[in-house]
Amino acid sequence: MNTASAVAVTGLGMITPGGDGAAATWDRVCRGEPTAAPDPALRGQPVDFSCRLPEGTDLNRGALPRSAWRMSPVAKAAVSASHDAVLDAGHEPKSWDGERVGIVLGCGIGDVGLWHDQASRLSERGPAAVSPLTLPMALANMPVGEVALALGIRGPSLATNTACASGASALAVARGLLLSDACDIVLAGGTEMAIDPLPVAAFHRMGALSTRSHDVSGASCPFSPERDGFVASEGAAVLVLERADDAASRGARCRAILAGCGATTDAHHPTAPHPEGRGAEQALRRAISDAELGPGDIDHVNAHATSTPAGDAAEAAVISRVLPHGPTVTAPKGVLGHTFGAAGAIEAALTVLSIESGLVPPIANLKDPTAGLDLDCVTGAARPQQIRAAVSHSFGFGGHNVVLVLTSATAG
Amino acid sequence: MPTSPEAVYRLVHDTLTTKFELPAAEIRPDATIGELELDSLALAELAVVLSEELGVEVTEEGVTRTTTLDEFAAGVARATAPAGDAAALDAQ
Repeated sequence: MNTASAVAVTGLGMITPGGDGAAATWDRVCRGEPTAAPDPALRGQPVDFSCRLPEGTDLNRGALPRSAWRMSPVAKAAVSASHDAVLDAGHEPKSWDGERVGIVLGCGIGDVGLWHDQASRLSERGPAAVSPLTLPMALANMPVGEVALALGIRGPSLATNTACASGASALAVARGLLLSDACDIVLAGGTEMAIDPLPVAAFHRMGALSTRSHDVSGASCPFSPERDGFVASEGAAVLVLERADDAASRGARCRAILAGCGATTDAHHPTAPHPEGRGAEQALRRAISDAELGPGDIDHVNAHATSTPAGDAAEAAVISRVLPHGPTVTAPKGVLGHTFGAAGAIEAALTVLSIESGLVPPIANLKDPTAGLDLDCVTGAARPQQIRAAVSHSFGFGGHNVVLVLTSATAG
Repeated sequence: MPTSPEAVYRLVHDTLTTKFELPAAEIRPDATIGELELDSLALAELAVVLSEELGVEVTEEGVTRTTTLDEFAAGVARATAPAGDAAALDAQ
């Protein structure tokens, strides 16, 4: 790849059940300690556990004065993660040329809790009881709008929705904005705060959730033979992207290169993955070729692995088939649960940290990494590894497949 | 149920500090809607909250950027009172 078209990651912000901030999240993920716990908001439901943000998480940092009241938690999480990311990148939003800054955030569900509450008010008390804030708070694009307001972003902006791949789609679209010179800096990420009795009941009804109430912390167990579904989670991650040359000329730290993206669609079934992972395989191959690499160059895989029986099996088959040389594999959802529209961005951020620190976090709750899989799954403790190139997988209901290739900023 | 202007003011004060997270020090009887930066969306939301708390329909009609919180509370109090009581409240 020539450096003129290299897109650098210069800043990270994360708010996840693993911790309030990128460093706290990374520590928790590297320890491999699950965050799933009984959830009082889901009491009495067939699935009454989830992964929640840590108590005391500050969702108001970076918010404009007098704006907190009108923002949904899903927007607040995005604003806070964006604040962290911009600070990390060393940008000063008060002085940047806002028309050359863009933002793309994935959001798969939006503030479904608000729709749920307002629907009750409408049916019980009539239209006058419906809050005028319903749309500005609940629409899935509003986190983008609120971050733009808070940071003075006046270039291209949009929300991506490819369900559980939304955060990865945001990064792919954002990279395109830089490569087409639509802007000079892009904030790209994902946000989701949708643990509400309604979507949890709905996910359960379709058989997607783990029902391991007797072993809640063991419920999210990617690639384990005992896996029975995912655990609902919440969070946000934002990455600051800019052309590597621009980053170098302002003396910014380049944390990794977003070297390639591949996106495909299964067109097989609304929610079930293609049994052989046909679309996922094509996305992986396209991403690697977009990065001008070969399959053998990939040292590490940050898997989508949500802990569902069919999804993990299809993904494992794709990894073994396309990357038979056995790159290390991790699956952060064992610790963090499934953050839906934020997951692709959180996992891209974790992949950046793996590359930068030379450390692969273990897959939580995977006791026997060899059971039925031909993968080099990292288990137990984090494993040191020099990583030149890594892929991060994201797949979503609707048959969306998005694969990102991230490479080391230092390895030529 | 008629509610006194003082009681409405206290309710407005509490709503602005808790739901709208405004600094308590800024919320004075003579503070205007404009000074508090309450836009049309904020006023509409405030009206929904007050309607619910007071059990009458409160609207933001007639409220402008120069309306003080005192005047706003008095207007809402009138809406809570039957016609005769409203005249009595006005006379106070």
